[in-house]
Amino acid sequence: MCIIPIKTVDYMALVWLLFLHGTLWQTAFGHNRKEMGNDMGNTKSGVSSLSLDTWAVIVALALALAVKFDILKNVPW
Amino acid sequence: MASSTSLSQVESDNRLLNTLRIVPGVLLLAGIGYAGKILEHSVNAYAKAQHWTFPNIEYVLWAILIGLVISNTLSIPELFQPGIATYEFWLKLGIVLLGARFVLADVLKLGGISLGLVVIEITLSLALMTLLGRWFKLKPKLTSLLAIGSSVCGVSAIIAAKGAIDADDEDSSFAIAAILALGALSLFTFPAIAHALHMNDVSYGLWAGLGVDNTAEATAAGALYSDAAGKVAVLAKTTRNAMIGFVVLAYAIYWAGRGQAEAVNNKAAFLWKKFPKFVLGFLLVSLLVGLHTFSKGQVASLGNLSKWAFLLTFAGVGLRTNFRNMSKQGLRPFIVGALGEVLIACLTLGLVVGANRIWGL
Repeated sequence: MCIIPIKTVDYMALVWLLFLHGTLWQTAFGHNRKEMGNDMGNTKSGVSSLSLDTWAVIVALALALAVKFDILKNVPW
Repeated sequence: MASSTSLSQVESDNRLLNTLRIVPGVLLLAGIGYAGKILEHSVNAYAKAQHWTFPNIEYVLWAILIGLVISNTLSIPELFQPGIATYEFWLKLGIVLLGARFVLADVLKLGGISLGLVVIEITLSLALMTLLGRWFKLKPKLTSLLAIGSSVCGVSAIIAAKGAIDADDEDSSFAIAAILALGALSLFTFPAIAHALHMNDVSYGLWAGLGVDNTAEATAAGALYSDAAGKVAVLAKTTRNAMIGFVVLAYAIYWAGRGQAEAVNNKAAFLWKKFPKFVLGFLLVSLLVGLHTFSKGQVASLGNLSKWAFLLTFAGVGLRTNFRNMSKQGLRPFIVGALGEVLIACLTLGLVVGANRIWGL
């Protein structure tokens, strides 16, 4: 259980940090997008310069944070 | 100053426009996936109400079938294409979130068994596909691409290898078409064979993860059997994916040695560049769950989010499989691929049955 209540604004700040970290990761360790061919740009959508893998990890961690801070509760299936 | 401001404004507008471009296709994926879910419930409920003995057809198969029917009978407007292309993103997102449903100890145990089997599978598959390519007199680089695609991880591996061994666009299109067509066939054959052999969930999941080439198809083939089998299939396939760098590096060195590809100077950097980074995300989420960062309810929520992401993936698998386009790529690489895949499927089945006897999976 989280002792300090974290509000949506704090959550947004954390997600922004996550995104920033993802961008830094991509710059530092990013694979060659042309060689891997699995970034959004190469799959016709052209959303960003981040690789698909980096995006997947960022969005997954953002969702995990949202679940952790009860912004997303009892997701149904 | 003014021009740089207007330039960044244009870039920002383009980014927004590109983001909006994926919306129709993503909605189509979600619509098809959800229709599959509704069909699963309604068909099963109807069959039960009528007292019919009807096999439980899972949403996975419905979503794939609807996608297949649409892509092979209608012409999908260009408007939907960017969004449909995001199916691979949903797949990777689903895999990272699936880490929540694995305790790290299970990952290490099953991953360890998978790793042993993956090494054997890759070695034998590479040798087999190389032999078949030579017998059928395929071009050497096309043979290399088919061998890499069928031994490691399908399309991603072929694309990764294409640059490294300096292969033709035509060769990689051939190899990708063969791998995709055979992946689509495996969706129907693997579960049927496993049911006939009464395989348990873990054994089947391992077999699907080792025997089906493309990650999306391996995930779907596993989920078609059972939820538990789907989990194991993803783990085995992810282990296979992690080997991509080693195999591509070996081929890059081989072709560079023959003067037909660029030499690899920094091997460690090459391996890191080719390593699928989403695997790290999967392990991180699994570790966080192992450290009790999430409550039981939250873990269930993460697992369900993973299922929603896979729902969109399965719709995408059907939508991007167009048999007409695949048939245009020619028959010979397809025959070599098909022969190789059948032999690899038998081989991996033997490996899994052997592992089951030794470790009691």
